[in-house]
Amino acid sequence: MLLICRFASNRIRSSYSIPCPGIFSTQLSPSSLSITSITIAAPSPNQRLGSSPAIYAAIFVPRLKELHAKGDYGKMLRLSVETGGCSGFQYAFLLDNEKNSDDRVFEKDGVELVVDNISYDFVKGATVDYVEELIRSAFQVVTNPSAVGGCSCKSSFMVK
Amino acid sequence: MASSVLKAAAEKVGPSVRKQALSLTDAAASRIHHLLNLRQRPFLRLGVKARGCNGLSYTLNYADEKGKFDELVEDKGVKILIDPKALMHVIGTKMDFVDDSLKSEFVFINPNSKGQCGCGESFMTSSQNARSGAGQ
Repeated sequence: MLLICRFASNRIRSSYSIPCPGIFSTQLSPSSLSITSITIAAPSPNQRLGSSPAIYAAIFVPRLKELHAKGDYGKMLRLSVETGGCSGFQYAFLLDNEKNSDDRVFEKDGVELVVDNISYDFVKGATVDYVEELIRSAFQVVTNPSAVGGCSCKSSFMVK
Repeated sequence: MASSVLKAAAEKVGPSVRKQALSLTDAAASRIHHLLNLRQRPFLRLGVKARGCNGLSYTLNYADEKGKFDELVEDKGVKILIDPKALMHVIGTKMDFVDDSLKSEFVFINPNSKGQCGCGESFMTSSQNARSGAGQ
């Protein structure tokens, strides 16, 4: 009886599950969900370099401003995708002050996220935030609709 | 008489010779001290859980009291409890704290670790290796 109930509840739960369960984690605090983070907009037909994303940051922006105040003034956060990690691709973050001609820039409240053209295809619609936990605080790609599966530490992923 | 001399010597030398399960760098200790003061809690509890691409990953939480089988490590003025399930996996580990612009995190240098995930979060020890081999 208990087995039947459990089986039924699992079936119901799986039919309502969110896509890319390997990337999301229910441990994420409300402050790091997409409504408070910077989102890399999926392209519209007339997308031009420098256009802004739809949803913005609460922790991401203050963290970058804090870094600016500490001396990394004017630096942008660059997100790039490299091969490697346990699932094929991995994210790399670095602070940069140079924009290349093929970069896409996402700006909010005076801070900027830069993605190069090749990496952009892998992170369309993704959400980047600065996630704070007891064991670590780091910039992470919190959600990425362009990716599927991936390492549960959220730094490596596969593409659809 | 010789035995009492030996006993006295052992009592003196014993505590310094007995190795702690976990050691901390100064950076880790000061960060832990800061975290404990922030929430006014007495201990941090270190554990492991099975997840990630390569076996186990570390967990760190606040703790209010020492469980019956927790291992207490006191180093550089801070107290850490080690979960009994984690003890065999983390014994001999050195805990460090690195802080740079992009991230600040605790780093665990674990001599038992036989392999690591590319991102460094998951690790595998030989006992885990045997178990996961059997499972697959």
